[in-house]
Amino acid sequence: MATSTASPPTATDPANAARPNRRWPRDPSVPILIVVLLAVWALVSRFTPEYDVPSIPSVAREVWSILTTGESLASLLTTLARVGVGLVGAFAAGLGLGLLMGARPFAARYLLPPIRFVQGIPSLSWVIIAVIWFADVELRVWFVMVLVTLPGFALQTYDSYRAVPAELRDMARSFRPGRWALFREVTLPAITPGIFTAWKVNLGLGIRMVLIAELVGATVGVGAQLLSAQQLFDMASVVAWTLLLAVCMLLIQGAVELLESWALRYRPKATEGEKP
Amino acid sequence: MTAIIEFSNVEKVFPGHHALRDLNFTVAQGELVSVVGVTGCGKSTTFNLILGLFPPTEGQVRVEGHDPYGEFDWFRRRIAVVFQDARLLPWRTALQNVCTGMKFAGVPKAEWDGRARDWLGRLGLAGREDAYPHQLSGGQRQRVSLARAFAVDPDIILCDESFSALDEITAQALRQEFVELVRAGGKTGVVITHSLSEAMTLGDRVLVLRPPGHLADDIRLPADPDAAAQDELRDRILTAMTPEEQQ
Repeated sequence: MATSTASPPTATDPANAARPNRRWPRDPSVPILIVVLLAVWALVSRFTPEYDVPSIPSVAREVWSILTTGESLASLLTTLARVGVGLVGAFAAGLGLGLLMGARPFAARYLLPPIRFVQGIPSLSWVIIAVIWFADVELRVWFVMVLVTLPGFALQTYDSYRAVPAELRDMARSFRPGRWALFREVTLPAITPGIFTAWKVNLGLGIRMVLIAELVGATVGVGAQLLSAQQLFDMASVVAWTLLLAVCMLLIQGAVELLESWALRYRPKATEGEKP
Repeated sequence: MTAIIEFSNVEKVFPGHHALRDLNFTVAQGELVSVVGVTGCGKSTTFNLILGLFPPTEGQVRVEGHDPYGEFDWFRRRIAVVFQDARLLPWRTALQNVCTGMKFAGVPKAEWDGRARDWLGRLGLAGREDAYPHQLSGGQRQRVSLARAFAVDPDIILCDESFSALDEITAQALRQEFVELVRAGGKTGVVITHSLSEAMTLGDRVLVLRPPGHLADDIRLPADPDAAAQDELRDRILTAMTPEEQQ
């Protein structure tokens, strides 16, 4: 039996260095999964009626129609705008509350219980409350979005604030900094990873909430379009709207992750050693 | 010489713990003093009182004639600290960490870059300015921490067991550099340490604290002691450090 004593190739091997650095496909699992899913979809749609599982071409036509029809495109953009405005509002309020609770234990004693209570209320209850309270659709959607996602932003900010290393605060205090300098140089960078986590979690939550809110009373938006498609038993349209929304969310998630890796670029990479 | 640090009948009581009891000592301007003692003798409390992180329960602490707790902001740019661990901001490069110390201390922005590069160069880190803390060794991180403290150009430099976490060779080299920089800059240095050899080699004087937080001995170190004198000194410090109930 032949044995080999050669060590595994490393990046510093001249042989490896001469090879081109192929960046794509680094991980073939995603393209493989997409191909398998499309194949299964195509197969199942051949043996089921169009109103249950629409064919790929009919969904593709719907997608094209949405993207090229002004009214449909406006619905998609309206929903995305509602998600954006709602999340930005919730983030601003949640960040403020989280920082206040972190900086002032007195405030935390009075604010934490109600925020946790609000977080425990089912999202659907907020939708019903919003329908009863507000006649204006935009206000309803914004109200639901803020109340459902604000606790996540506030609690994550609060937890991140409390996790700022005391050693770094003491180090900074030894130089007698102003409050803004201390916040800008120590607190804000230390809570940034937590803020990104909250954004990634709330993006998914936000899109689900805005759809539910749009289903009740909205005339424009993906939720309203889905309701209309359901009433017409137009499954191709349902799938097309859902796919488009999911792709948009994936793109936004990707953008957030890019921003995150830029903001946290100081972190050691997996291949990087702890010491030189 | 003028006393720059003055402890007069200082008591510090924490809930359930008497940290300092009738502590009296002075440090003259330009002196380099080690404060040594066993764990729990009040070294860190003394350090935090000089830094102004809390007030004494009784007695008076004066640094440059001012109350470091009551006039906390007056000491901006007058005191800088080198901690046991480097305490660098992980999101800032070596250069930016040094600049951040100056930013905190209120040094004019125009001076940050030049001063930071100068101090990093003096401490052997030229070429490592853009490295993040995780890309530096423990000794290099502590050098950045020293550069951050010296770049502020303070009157007093406090070291809290700053060399104890390093290997002996690196620690020895850094101690030497630290002493040279303090002397060259005419600074006053106070070094808190639990290491006997560090206390004996680092400064002009050794203040020996003994639990519960009082001054057991105040020893002026000879300029160039021979081996016998060093042994005698070591015994004297050891005896002073040892708690009374163990003597």
